[in-house]
Amino acid sequence: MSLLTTIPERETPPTLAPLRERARQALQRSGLPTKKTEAWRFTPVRHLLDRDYPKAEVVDTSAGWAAPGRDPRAHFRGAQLLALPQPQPGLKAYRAVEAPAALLERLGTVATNEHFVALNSVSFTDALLLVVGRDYDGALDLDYEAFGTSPAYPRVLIVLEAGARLRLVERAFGQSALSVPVTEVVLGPEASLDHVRVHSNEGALLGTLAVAQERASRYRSLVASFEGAPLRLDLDVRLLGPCAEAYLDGIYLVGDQAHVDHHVRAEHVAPHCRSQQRYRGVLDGKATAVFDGQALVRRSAPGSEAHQHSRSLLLSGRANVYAKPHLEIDHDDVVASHGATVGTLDEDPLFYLRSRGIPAPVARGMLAFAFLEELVNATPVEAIRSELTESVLARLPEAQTLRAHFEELP
Amino acid sequence: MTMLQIRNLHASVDGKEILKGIDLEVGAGEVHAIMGPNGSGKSTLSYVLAGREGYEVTEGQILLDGRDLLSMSVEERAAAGVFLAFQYPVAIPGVSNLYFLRAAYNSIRKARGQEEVSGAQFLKLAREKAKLVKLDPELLKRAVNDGFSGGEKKRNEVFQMTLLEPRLCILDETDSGLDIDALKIVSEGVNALRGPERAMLVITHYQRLLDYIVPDVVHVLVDGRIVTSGDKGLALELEARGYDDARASARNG
Repeated sequence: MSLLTTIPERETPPTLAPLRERARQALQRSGLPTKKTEAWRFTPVRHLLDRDYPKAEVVDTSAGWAAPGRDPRAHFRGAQLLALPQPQPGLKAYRAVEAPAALLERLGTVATNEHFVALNSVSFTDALLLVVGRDYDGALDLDYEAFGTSPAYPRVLIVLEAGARLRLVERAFGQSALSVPVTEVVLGPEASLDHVRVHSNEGALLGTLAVAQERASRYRSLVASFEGAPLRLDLDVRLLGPCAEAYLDGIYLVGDQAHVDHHVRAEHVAPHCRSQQRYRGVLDGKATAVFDGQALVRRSAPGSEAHQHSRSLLLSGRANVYAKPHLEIDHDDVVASHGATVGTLDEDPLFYLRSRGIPAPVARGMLAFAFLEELVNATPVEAIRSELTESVLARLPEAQTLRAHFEELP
Repeated sequence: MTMLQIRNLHASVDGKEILKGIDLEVGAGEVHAIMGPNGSGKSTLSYVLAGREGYEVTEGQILLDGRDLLSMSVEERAAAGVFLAFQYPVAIPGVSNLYFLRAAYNSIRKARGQEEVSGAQFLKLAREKAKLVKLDPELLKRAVNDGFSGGEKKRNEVFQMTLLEPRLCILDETDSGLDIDALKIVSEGVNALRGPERAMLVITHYQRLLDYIVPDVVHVLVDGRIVTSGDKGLALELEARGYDDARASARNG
């Protein structure tokens, strides 16, 4: 059975009925992307849509599902929300069935209701809703464990109240046929979110991360993608209140036949906001990467500053990059820049390293590492830095030698 | 004892012959200066010795300690003891100086069949050597040459040389872009490395550097050939009269 026909008929709390109904209508209207859908031109998904999927299996959680050590955290395995963060002062976490109606109503208001977001809204088994108050200053881990052969639709809404601060790490890992996660984030006035999202799952992932920012809120994001079978992320940030800031970094490192597609969009609706996109990728083998960066500055947003830059490094002659940074500006009072480069390793630094005795393959690995490490070093969540560094090292040629060279000095 | 032997060396870049038959012998412990006008082939000679791609040797031989350099890769030459101090050292953002140098140090040890050193051992060594060349320890933590001033870059080259203890040091226009104070510090570092266990080639356009690094022999390179050789007095003569006489003798010779 293909993807659209496997949508489960599920019992839904009445409070979710309007969301499901809107999504159902949106799906009927827009359907799922075809190769004629401009935003999906370089990432064909037909084979994913037409594939046979079994009906969702129920995970047996009674058989000793051990909570990993980190806390507070939430854990999706496949479609199922297995763990919620322990209650803490300032941190409230709900499943959809138990969430207050006013909170539930916000679900689906941040992400654009079309294609896979609509599919997720129709299909998710359970949603996680989090409210972070200003008396919570801490971290939160969100795990998406890909699992099983039926499609999974993890769904998350995170609301940071005025002045709240959160360090959030999302990890997609494991192995499955298809995962379609949707994360919606609301940053209240002067709220600050430091966010790292890591994709290291084997199997297709078509994800959406939508952020709505109110006055003087700050969002710092690093997306790190290490697998793509395929991977698609739509990161959609809307600057709705004045003086909001969004710093959007991304790295990807893929080889073989991997396909990674990052669509990053910053929309300036309110005046005096700032957005910056910096994406860097390394490709080996026959890998393909798409970077589509958009900055939109509306007429209502004078005094905006919007920057975007994408750089890709090809380690193989058979890898491909489609880079498309674009600005759409409806106001004169704007500072903006954009650019994209795609290239191979420079000869000069390579010769320099080799002339100091470092063998050519190791020197190439070091330069690719350095290229990504600049953004890793700027990670918004310091606690995950060494984990990211290790993920990068492990995937480079000559990983073992590189690991010895970059092992932390005392 | 001869350490470096260059015999009838011809080399081309993009099919154009730049070096037209160079013969040179440098003994252990000796410092030889190579002087010459722009375009005479000085930098080509240093790149050919280091093994840079794009520099094609069409004839001749280079031996270091009796071993054939031309059959070795760039990194094999480094392990054999060749060190080129660059005229324009490149910046490598994202790799700290210390990590880069540990990689170099251990790669060379590994290639020589020696045991690699631990992080703590290396750190101790690096700090000692940095002190010797008066390199600000903060620069060890920064990315390689990234945002370094001209003087800091050259000092960093000499620092690397001190750490890697090469057999053959090639200093390519090390004086370019240095003020007198920086020149003195860099020269002190180089002079500290002089000794019977290594040979040095100091490549320079100007005589000024040779006031600080006093050579045993001076060679004048014009149009891809060594046209005359002498003691340090030759450098002073060139300074006074320019390269015109040397050019003329190259044409007549």
